[in-house]
Amino acid sequence: MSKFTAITASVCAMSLCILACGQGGPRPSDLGTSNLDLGEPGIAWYTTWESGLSEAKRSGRPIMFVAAATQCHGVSGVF
Amino acid sequence: MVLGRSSSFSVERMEIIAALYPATADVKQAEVQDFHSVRQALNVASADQRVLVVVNGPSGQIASLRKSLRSVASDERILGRVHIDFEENDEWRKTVTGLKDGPSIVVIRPGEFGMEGTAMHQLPLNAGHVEIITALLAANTEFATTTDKKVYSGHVAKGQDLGIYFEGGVPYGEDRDGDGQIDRGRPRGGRPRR
Repeated sequence: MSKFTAITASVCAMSLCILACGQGGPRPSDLGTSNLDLGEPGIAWYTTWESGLSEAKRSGRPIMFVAAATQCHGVSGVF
Repeated sequence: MVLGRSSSFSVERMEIIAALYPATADVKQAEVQDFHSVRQALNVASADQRVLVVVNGPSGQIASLRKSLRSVASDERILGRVHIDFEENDEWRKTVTGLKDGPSIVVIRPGEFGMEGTAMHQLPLNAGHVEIITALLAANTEFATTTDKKVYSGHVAKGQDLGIYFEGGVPYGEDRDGDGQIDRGRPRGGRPRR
């Protein structure tokens, strides 16, 4: 997080399956667990474009843009 | 630049790019993240398995807190461990149990599917930074030690069995043949039904 402004477009606009399952990617049944232990720090996402862009401009850092969503086949709570 | 799916490839390329753009401002004063709605925030917090902090109050106080909470959100003990959302309305309250009335900073345990949440701590908007950080650390520890780590495949299967459905902005599906159209009911390896 100190080097990039990380933005995830988890705006329900795109299913995780489109990214993870499409064109040769894994099926929902192939999804496993996060590499992180619970409670440990992960990526500090900016979850709106406006806030991420604003911080990128403020800090002069490039944006790592990830398009994903937190649902798969309509089931929420998934990454 | 578009990076591929390989995490090792991505990290290597990102390191190269990042070296070209060192931060020109204090990263400890980075803007605080936000969501479009608590509904979305609960879903993301559930997926990431992190506690959610909702800062709820009138617009003037919210604007002030967006700045004053920067050092809290950027604290190395907090950064990447919680999600934070600012909300001026009260619509979201019906999805969170255990809430007291009034503007506040609410630390929420997201539900398994992110469709609802439970208040873990509730602080006044004028709470001190030490008090807020202490509450967040306690909530993070409690959440981590009382929550089962998700196996996402099982999570999706369970959600389908339970009829969980999160209404999204676009139809769900996969364009596996790259024609720009969602392939509906297509068996794996078979031809899509039209």
